[in-house]
Amino acid sequence: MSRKPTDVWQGTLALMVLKTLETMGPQHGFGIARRIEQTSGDRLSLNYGTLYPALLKLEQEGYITSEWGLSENNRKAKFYRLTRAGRKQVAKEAQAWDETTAILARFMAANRSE
Amino acid sequence: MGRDHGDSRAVHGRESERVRTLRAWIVRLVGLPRRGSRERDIAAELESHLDMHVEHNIRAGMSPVDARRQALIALGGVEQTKEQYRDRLGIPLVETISRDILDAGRRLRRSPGAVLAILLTLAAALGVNGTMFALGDALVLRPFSLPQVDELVAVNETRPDGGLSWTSAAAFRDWKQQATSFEALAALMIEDVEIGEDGDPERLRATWVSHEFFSIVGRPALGRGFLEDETSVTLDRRIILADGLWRRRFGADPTIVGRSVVIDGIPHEVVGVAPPDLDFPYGTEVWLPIAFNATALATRDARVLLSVGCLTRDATLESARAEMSVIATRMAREFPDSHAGRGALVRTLGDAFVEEGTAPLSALLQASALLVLLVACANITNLVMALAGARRREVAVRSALGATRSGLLRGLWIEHGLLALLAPGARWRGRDAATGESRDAGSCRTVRGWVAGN
Repeated sequence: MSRKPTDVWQGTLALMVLKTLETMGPQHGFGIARRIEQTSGDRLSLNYGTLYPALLKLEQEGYITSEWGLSENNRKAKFYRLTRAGRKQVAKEAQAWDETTAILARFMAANRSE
Repeated sequence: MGRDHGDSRAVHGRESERVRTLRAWIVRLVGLPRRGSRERDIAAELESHLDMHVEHNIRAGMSPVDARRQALIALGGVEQTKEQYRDRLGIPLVETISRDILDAGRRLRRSPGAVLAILLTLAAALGVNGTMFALGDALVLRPFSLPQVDELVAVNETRPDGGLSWTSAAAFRDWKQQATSFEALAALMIEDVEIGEDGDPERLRATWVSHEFFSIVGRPALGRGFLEDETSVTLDRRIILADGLWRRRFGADPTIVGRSVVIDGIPHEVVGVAPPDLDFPYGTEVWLPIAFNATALATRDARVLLSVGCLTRDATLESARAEMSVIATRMAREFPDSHAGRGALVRTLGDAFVEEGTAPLSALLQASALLVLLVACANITNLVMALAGARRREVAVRSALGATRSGLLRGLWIEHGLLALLAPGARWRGRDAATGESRDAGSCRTVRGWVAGN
């Protein structure tokens, strides 16, 4: 696989965004960023700026849509939510991840015992 | 089982990934014009993001100043974020180039004198080259706007002294009957006639042809070619007009076919009008049928006819030559009085109808035109360097502001490209030999069936 490190990170970020939207439902950019930070146990210090191009890319690819709305504190904010294609993509990518980690876990375990 | 699933899913996944990427590109392309509103959109979104973060920080106990500062740091730079966002929004290359084109236009407008000089020089040089090439094209490369001109040949008799001559009606008939290399073989004879009904006589260039002629050169635009019967003494009062003559003398009358015109005092019926670009032989204004009568066919040494033919699919110039040689030898044996020592030569139309020195002369003219272009380029280089010298300060400022070398170069390329595109290459519209190819006459091999009754 000839993907650059930045591509891998962008792919990971995209998946985290999609998963967050699946769990939380429609959410604005700040909320998604906060959620990702929290659920990674604050081990991930996300550069919030990278989120917005990622959101744009997902929107252009058709996995999410956006519309302006009001936040919890009655502030104007742009909300994102999953499309049907996005839902399918999350399921697919999550499964791929599970498989990869499973294979890798077995591999590591096998090599460790020798 | 798991392996199979994995494979099909992997293939499917890659496909839908490509679909998604394509969708993204299309969205970006379509969104190119509406950049302004999206810019405001992201600015508003980032502002809203910061406000929410600041609020969050303040609630967590930070001072307003610290809250704002931390929020900005966490975002990682508003302008950078906007920049990255913008890059994904449109198609950066397209936008860069269109901006470069506008900049180049502005720069050029500031030195109108130099620009004008460059454009005129370029236009003149291009014009000269264009004209010389068109000339060469019309004279040498494609002197005949005939369909499938590569398959057309001219057949001459050769004299005992080695020169070429025309042929007689009888010999032509024999050639036609015996030769298998030609899809069609026609005879022609050039001789002026006088047209005139009511006191408006005019001398016209006329070519007398056998009925195969229009199979070879392509069907007339109006009406039809000559029928075989019409090349006999009884029915030869027929005529086909050239397009120029039809427009000039008959006002492009659409009902001309069937009408009568007077040729050398004798009424002839118009059976067709040639297409506008049929000019073979050069300058012909009317075509008339050759009346092959018994006397003409008996006299083998009345050599008045040129012969033009279309090679069959399997024949080549060499094979046709060889065959005609054999036929001529046979004829010399059979008719020693008229054909002793004579052969037959097959040549391409170009060799037969274009004067010998034309090709080298044309090449010389084109070479000279190229030299003119080189000189013009040298001049333009001087002018361009003068322009560059005057712009040193601008380049320095732009570099200081962060322009990269490749960016500056790209700007230059586009500027010079604009100059080159703007210089119009005027051209003398001589004989437009190029239009010959647009005729839908098809190959002369397929034209045969068209002549009669079409």
